[in-house]
Amino acid sequence: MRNRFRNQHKHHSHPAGSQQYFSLIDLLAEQSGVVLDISGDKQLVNRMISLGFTIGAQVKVLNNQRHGPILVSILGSHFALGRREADLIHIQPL
Amino acid sequence: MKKQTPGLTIALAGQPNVGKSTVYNYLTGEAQYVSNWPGKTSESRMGSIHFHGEDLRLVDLPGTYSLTANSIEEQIARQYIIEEKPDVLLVILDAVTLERNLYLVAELLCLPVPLVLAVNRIDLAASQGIQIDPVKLQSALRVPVVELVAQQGKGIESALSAALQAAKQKDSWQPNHPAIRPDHQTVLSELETMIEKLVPAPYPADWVALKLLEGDQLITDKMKALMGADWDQVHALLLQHDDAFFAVAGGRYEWIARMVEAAVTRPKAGMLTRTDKIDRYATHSVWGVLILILVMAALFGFTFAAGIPLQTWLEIHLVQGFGAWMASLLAAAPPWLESLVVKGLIGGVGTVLTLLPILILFFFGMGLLEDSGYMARAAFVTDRLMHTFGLHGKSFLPLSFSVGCNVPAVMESRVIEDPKARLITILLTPFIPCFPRLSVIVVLAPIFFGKDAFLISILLFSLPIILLAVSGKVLHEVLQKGQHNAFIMELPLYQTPKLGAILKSLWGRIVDFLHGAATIILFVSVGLWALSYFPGGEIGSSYLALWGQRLDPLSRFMGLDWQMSVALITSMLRSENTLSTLSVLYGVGPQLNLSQAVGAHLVPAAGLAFLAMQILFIPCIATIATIRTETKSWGWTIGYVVMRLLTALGIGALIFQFCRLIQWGV
Repeated sequence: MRNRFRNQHKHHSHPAGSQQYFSLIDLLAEQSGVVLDISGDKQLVNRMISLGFTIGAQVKVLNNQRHGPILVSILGSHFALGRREADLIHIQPL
Repeated sequence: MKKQTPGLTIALAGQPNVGKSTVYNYLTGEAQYVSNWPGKTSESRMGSIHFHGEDLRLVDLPGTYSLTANSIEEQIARQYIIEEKPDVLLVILDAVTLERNLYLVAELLCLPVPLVLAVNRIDLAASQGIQIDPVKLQSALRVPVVELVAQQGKGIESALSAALQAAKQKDSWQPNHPAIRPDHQTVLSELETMIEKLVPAPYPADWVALKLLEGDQLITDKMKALMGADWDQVHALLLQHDDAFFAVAGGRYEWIARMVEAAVTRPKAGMLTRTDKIDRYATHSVWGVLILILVMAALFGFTFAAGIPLQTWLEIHLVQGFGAWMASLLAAAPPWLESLVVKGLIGGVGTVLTLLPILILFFFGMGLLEDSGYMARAAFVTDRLMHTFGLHGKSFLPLSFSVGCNVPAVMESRVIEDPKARLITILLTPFIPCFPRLSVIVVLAPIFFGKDAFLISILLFSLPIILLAVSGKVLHEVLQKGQHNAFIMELPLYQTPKLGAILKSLWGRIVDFLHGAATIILFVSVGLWALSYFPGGEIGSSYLALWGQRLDPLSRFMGLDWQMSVALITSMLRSENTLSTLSVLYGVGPQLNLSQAVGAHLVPAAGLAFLAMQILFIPCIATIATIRTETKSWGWTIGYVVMRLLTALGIGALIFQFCRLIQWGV
């Protein structure tokens, strides 16, 4: 169920092969990106959206050390995100 | 929670950690503790106040980021608003993160209750270069907006006046509603027509339609059950628009951007705040860990250095001094009464009270860290380590409280949203031995092991940590098989800790601890005293000793004599009881001190088994009672106690038998 949704959704917003995907964990500290899409189950996505992770929002990574959670700033607040959660957020690097 | 006719009801709503509880406490004079950690109020509270000649009911709803049923708090809040229909919602917003806070407002505006917005921490926002114009915000939203600095009590009364006025002018309530994006308006109205007649009474049909489109699980399940065969049609429509929630949410944020356009000015990006500067180090993978270790070492060092002399002083003057005085006072009374008062009451409850200085110091230090905002960083830094225990970063808070006392620590598990992850944390927290339990090892290890005591103590301390990790993994496998604990946590801004807030949290935790001492501990103290006194009037021939002797064959297997087994059992009452029970059972007195007595009775191998069992034994009664209240399950509580008992005995036996095998210390 989860996968079906994820794949379908990905396909919906990025026609296959059009570009490389970047997720939030690809950004290093001090780099920013714009949220393109969030995959994952609806409940998690809804939760992230209510925290400000909406399509078009600008996110800045404050701390990302290749392991452990990453620290990001969005809409004036700071969030710690597990790597798996961060990987669900597809972004366009700025 | 039915409303009585006179008097208006004002509910406080807002996102977590925006200062709702501060406002509630200010208005009701209650001392519920607040902290700089999101999500402390998980249930709603209600109080009555008298304001400007009117009696009002004030309800403090749990903090919620949105109104989608992602968490229990969100379900509680929205159910209350829709079903109980307060006369007005006073929504507290954080000025620093105003846009995100308005997301909740965008959701609340869809419900038929008037709002008043109170923008809190205006001063903090200004110090970061964020300017907010309440008049412009008010005219954009067409909702009353007031400024607030809740910490200092500024603006709270005018916020309440505004709320009161809005409640009285309910009929003229016409706010600016956030609309869904044009491309989804048709589907929304289509959906609304389909469900309109079937939506149960207090629920607005347009709101239910919106929640269906957003994929809200609870509402979906409810409507599915209500609609029966008609559901298929709705379901098909929802499937076609299964990404609609991006449109709904996106629409809200676009609306927010329009609303704040004129009212809010933010500084240019790239300006480093104080929080950013500190976090560069505090959340760094190397520096962050070092800082955490230093901070914790300082906290424990301070607690021990200042707390232990105080405890000794209280032990001498309160327990022994007061006990001797009571004994002389009761000299003429029957011997059982003297024994009950001196040994049962003063000895049991009094000993618990001597722990207070250590707890007060420790909780004060923890409160300081929490209120400054540092504990959220500690959670960030420890997240990886916690994953090896089947937990995540947020569990660091309860685990670190455990060192002081397991009782408030178990309660701290409430910071974890997922019910299963919370249950795991509740069950793992009491593995961390508290100060009193550690103190037994500190006293007895040198007696058994002489110069090896330090090394062996370290090994002993690592035992519960290993078990914690193993149990965590097992519980995670059993309860959350294949499930991943999403770690999403807001890190609050650093702030200068406020003495008032720290003292309030300290008070709350001490009350939790004393509440346990006053009820269960009193009861069990007296019960245990009775078992150790009757029928013969002295412990050597008491029921307790009798039972202890019956357990002798079992005890022998772990290298213990019956006195040691009884001492372990009494540690359930209070962890540090082990020492006092041993003193009594071995007849410690002027001619014989504890170390001589213990040394004469036990070989090092048995001592090792005993200390291992002591550190792993069932947590004290007060902790067990707290586990029961927090899990709301006797099954888990009893199962947990049995498992802990079997583990402790099993490991004790294993250690002793292994030592015999290799001929160490026998």
